[in-house]
Amino acid sequence: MKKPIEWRSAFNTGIASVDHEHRELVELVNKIHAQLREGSPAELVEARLGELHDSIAAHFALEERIMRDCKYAGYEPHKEDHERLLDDIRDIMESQTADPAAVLAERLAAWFGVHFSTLDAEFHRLMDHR
Amino acid sequence: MNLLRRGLLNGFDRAEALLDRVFTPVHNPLKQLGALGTLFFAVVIVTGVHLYIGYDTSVSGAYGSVEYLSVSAWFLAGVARSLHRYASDALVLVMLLHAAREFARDRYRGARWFSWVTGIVAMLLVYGSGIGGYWLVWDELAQFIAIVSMEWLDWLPIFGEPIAGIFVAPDALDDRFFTLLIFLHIALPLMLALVLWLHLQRISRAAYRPPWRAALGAMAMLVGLSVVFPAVSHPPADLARLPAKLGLDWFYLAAYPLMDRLPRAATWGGGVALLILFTALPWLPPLRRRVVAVVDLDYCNGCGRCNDDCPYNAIAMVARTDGKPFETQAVVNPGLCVGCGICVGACPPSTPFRTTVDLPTGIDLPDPSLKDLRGQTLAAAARHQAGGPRVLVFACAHGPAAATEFPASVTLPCVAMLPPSFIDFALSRHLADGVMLAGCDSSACYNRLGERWTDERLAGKRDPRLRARVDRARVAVSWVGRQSGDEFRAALSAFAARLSARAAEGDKR
Amino acid sequence: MISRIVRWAAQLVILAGIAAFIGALSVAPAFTYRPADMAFIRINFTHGAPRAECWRPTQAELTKLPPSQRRPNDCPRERPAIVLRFELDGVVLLDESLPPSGLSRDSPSPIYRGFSVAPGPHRLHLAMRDNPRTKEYDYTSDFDVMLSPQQNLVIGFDPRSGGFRIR
Repeated sequence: MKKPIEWRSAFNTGIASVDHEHRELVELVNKIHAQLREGSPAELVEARLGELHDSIAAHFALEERIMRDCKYAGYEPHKEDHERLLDDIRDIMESQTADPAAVLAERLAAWFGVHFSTLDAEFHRLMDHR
Repeated sequence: MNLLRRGLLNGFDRAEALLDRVFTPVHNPLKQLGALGTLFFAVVIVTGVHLYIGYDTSVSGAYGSVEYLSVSAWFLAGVARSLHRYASDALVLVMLLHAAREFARDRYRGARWFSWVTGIVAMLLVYGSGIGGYWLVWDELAQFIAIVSMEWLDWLPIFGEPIAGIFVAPDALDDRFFTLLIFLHIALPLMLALVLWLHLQRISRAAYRPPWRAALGAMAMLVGLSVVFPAVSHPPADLARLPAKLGLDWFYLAAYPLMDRLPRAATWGGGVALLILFTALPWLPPLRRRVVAVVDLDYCNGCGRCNDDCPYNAIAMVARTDGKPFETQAVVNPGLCVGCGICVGACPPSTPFRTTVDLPTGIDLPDPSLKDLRGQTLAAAARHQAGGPRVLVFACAHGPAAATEFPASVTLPCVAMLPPSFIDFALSRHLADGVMLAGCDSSACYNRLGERWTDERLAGKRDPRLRARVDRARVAVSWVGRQSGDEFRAALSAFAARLSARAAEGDKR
Repeated sequence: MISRIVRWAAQLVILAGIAAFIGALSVAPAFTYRPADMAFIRINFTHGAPRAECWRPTQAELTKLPPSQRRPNDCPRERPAIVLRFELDGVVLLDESLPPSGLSRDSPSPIYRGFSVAPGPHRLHLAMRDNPRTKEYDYTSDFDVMLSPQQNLVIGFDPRSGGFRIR
């Protein structure tokens, strides 16, 4: 079974709290993905995805706080991307798709791949220079 | 006590509703009393400095210098003198209204005692400054103030000889006393400025500047009054004569006729008793039950949204104590927390879409907790009335009864306690066709910032945002005061009508 | 919705009303401190009666006392009260014993009293006794004054210039 997200060292930003949450989130995503693959009734799907949504929302709030404190110039587009993912998770919760695990995996993989390599990396570079 | 408060509250609600329509809620003078107070204080200071340049601090010269300023140099200084008087009168007016309003709206108890007590100290300093100001003119009114004040103070057995003796004969009064008066007239307002700064310390984003239109209107009013009805002095003080008829400034000197005519023991006893009573008001029964927010470190990552939103500076971000690699954690100061729950609405994990029966989140109120809110939302959805679109109302406890008593409603200590995800929850689970947030009065939020935060969260300008996927046509907001039940009902009906129309259109397609 | 013109007119009326209220209450209603058709006499001074003489105990009395209380001079700190009498045109308005002030009753006796009198000519008679052992008054003065309405006549006392004086 392929995990939706494999941790890569490229995900490290150098900020302890952000990296800690990234690792926890990757674990949570993989765990929920496995649970969804095993099959669950619809309410449980929504509830598990709800927990994922909460954890991701809390993580984004922390990241945005750090970015605001550093007066990061690329804050706005970064935040828009965060909001997009949260919207997508809510969409998956409501979609009542037959295979939520697959939808989640596909959506998250896409999002993480793009987000980490572009926006987070840019932020990481900016942080390094300080 | 409660009867008095309720009576005052009704009065204020009605007056504010009326003035809302004339001035708009943002510019309603009754909702800007504190800010207008600082404006008038600033005017008094500026005009005071201007007048001080021309004032002669000797006994013989004081009266003449004020006459010169008021009459001969009318345009340059006389208007300033009138402004100085009328702005200080206006200051007393807004100050007393402000105190009455905060008492009526019950915003002085619990953690808010500090604002009340510093306010009382500020009031005393305002009176002291104003009375001293009238003294400096050294006309008959000043003579009256001097004699009555000194005779009143003589009742205290602390002076060896009656200090009123200073004002009994012309040769007894000297320039040094006037220098003392000027010193006090500068020192007391300085202390007042300090106390006013303290007065604002325990709230966040204090509104101490009125909107510019309100300031303009107030200034125009005072300047117009100063030009049309200039302030004048009484005849000069003459210690060989006793003043007869005096035009008292009742804003500052209302107590003086009482001090002169009533027995000293009565005015002293009454004065001290009133002072103690007013200062002790925050602690008089019925005591406010204290609900204080509680942080759960397992869910707090130090994002700081609660700290941003708290209207009372009750939450601080401090160094981590649980060993997790986050920089900070939130900590609540129970002495400052009033239990409004705005922090709960701001916290990111405060959503209702979860597996466990409990709804743990970074910060929560013991009562109502987030779990209580979800339970009450589900229960309210079961109480929809048959016929017509189903509207779920989230009502503020300080808003109109028509909202809190609506069958399908959930009552919150502040409408900004509601995490926007609850709106998403209600609509996506089909618990209602539309959600209405019924806050309290516009520009008069009981918890100061709840209206602003709710509007910004719904508009997507403040975190946590209402998700873009939520159909905004299904969300409505009403900001009306306690007395405006009819306005709320009208807004509710209009909302229901819009929902019906959309449903009909949807059916047609 | 009320039209803008009506709103502005209402604002003007309300602000003008508030201005009128402030202007009016800053000078009215008038308060009469003392009647304009009466004059006023005030007695205001402090005077300390001389203290009683020191008690000088003899050697025999000293030995009777406990050692801590043997002092060659026992001077009382207290002042006796003074007696003041004030007559206006023969009518006695004041005839009192004025106690000394201070915690140990050793400060001068103060007096600050006022009397409302009709204007016109009056004869004032003042007498004070500050020696409790005598029966006569130590200081007396008589004044003939003409009082005008609202006049504030102050009677003081200065032992250096010989007694009561009018200001």
